[in-house]
Amino acid sequence: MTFVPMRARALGTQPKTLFVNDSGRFFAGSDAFVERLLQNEPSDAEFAFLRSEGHWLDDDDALGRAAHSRSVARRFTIAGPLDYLILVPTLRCNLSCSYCQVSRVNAEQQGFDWSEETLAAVLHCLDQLPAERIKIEFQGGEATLRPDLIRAVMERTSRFRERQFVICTNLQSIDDEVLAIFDCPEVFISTSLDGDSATHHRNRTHHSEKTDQFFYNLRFIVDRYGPRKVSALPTIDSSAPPAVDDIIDAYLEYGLDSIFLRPINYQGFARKRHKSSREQGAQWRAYYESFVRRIIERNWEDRDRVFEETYLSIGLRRIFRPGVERHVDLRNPNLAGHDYIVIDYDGTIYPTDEARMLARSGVVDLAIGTVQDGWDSETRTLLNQHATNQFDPDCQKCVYQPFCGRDIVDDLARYGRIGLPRHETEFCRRHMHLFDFIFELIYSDCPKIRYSIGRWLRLPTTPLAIGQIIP
Amino acid sequence: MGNEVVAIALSERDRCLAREAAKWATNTHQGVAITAAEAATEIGGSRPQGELRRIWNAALLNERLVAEASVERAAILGQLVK
Repeated sequence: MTFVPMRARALGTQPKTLFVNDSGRFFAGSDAFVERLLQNEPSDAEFAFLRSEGHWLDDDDALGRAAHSRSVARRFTIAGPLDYLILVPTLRCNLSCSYCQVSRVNAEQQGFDWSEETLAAVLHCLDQLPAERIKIEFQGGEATLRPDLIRAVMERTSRFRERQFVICTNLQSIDDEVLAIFDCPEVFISTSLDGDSATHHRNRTHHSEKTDQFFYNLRFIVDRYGPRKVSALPTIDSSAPPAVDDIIDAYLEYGLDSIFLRPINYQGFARKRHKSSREQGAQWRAYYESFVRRIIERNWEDRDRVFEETYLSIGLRRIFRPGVERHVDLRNPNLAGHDYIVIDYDGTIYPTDEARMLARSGVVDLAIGTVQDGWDSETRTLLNQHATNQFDPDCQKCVYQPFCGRDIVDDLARYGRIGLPRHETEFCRRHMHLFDFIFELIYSDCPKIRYSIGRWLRLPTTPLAIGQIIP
Repeated sequence: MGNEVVAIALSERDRCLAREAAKWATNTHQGVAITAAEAATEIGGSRPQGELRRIWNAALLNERLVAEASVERAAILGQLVK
C-alpha cells in the first residue's frame, strides 16, 4: 500500500499541515498526525480515511490508480480550437496613464491603426475559425477611437452560435457610434477604476474635466445597461495604496461587485516610471489580505451584496472546479498561440497581451507570426516547450502545483530569462502567497469567511466546513 | 516576537533528505532559516517554536513523499502524455 503522489506544506497561522495529491484532492492534518506519519504509524482510522478519499491505494488496486490518473488528467488545461482573440485595432489613446502597459501613442498620430489589408486579413482569419463560439476582446490604445473597425469585426462574426465582445475602454468619450456598439447585448464594457475620484485623477486623467467626464460616462453606462454589462479593474500603486474602503466604496457606488485588485504591471511605461513594480513585497501581500478580509466583513454585514476579489475567486475555482476556469494567466500547461491570440495594430500576432507589451517596450520580441502569414512558427513551438509547471524541479515539490500555472512571458518581462529557480520569481511568490492565503481561509472556523467562500464558489448554501481535517 | 530557534535530531533515514527539505522550507517560508547538519536540524525565525517545528516536519515529510512518489508520478505523467 502506498500514498498516491502527494505533497505537504505547513499552513501559515494554523496548527495544521496541508496535504494535496496530484489530482488536487486535499486534506489537512494535525501536528500529531504529521508526527505519526513521520514515524510511519498512522492509526487504523487514519488509514481508513486516506483510503476512502483516494489518497492511499493498495498495490493491486488498478481501478483506484486509473481513477487517480484520470483525476490528474482533469487538472491539465486542454487547449481547444482558437476561440478567443484580443484585437488591437489602434494603438492610439486619448489618455496618458503613468503606468500604461502598452506604450500607447498620442491620439493624433498616424500609422498606428489597422490598415485596409490588416483588417481584411483579420476578417479572413475570423472566417477560417472552426469554433462555434467566439470571444473577442478589443484592446488598445483606445479601441473606441475606431468604432468602424470594431463594427466590421462584429458584423463578420454573425455565423458563430455564441458571441461575446469585450470592449476595453477608458470611457473618456462615448459618441453615438460607440453607443450603438455598446447597445448590442453581446457587448460588454471593461474599464479601469482606480478608486475614488482623486485617485483616478492622479493616476490616469490628470485633468479635472477628463476625470469628471470619466465618472459621468461610467454613471451613464451603468444607468443605461445595469452593472452586469460593465466590469472595472483598479490598478494599485503598492507603494502608496488607497484606503481599502475607498476602493470598495467607489465600486459600490456603481453597483460593481467584482474587484480585480492588481498591482501595477511591470510592463510598458511602468518599467521606467514604476520600477519597484518588478517585485511585490510583503507590503503588497499584507494590503491584499486586508482587502480580502474587509470584503469578507462587508459581505457579512450586508447580505444583499457580495463583493469578490476576482483573482482570489479564480484561485478558488482552480482548487475546487478543475477544468472550469479558463483564466489564461493561471493555467497548466499554458499553451501559447492555440486557443487564444493577440492581433496587434500592425497585424503582428503575439501569444499574450503581455508579450505584445514586451515587444513594444523593446525588451524581447515574442511575436509568433502575422495575421496574413499565420502563426504556426518556431517561436511558438519554442515557447510551448516550456509551457508547463509539471517538470520544474521546484514545482515538483510544491503542494500547490496542481492548482498553479506557468507564465514564461511574465518571467521574461521581469528577469529577461525563464531559467530562474521558481521560488525566486514573482510569479511563484505571488501564487504561493495566494494559495497559502486561500487555504488559511478554507480552514478557518470563522462563519463570516465560510459565508463569503460559499458565495464566491456560487454554492447555494454556506458549508459547515470546506476542507477535511485529520485530527 | 524575537528570533526563535528549534533544534531537532535527525533519524538515520532522514539524513539524506534533510538538506533538500531544509533548502525548500527556507526558500518558501518567508523569514525562516533552516540548517540541516549531519545529525540535527536547526530551525530559526521570528515565529513561535511550534510553528517552526511544524514547518520543518511538513518539509521533511514532503521531501519523503516526493522521493517515494517520483517513479509513480513519472509513470502517470508518461502515460498521460502518450
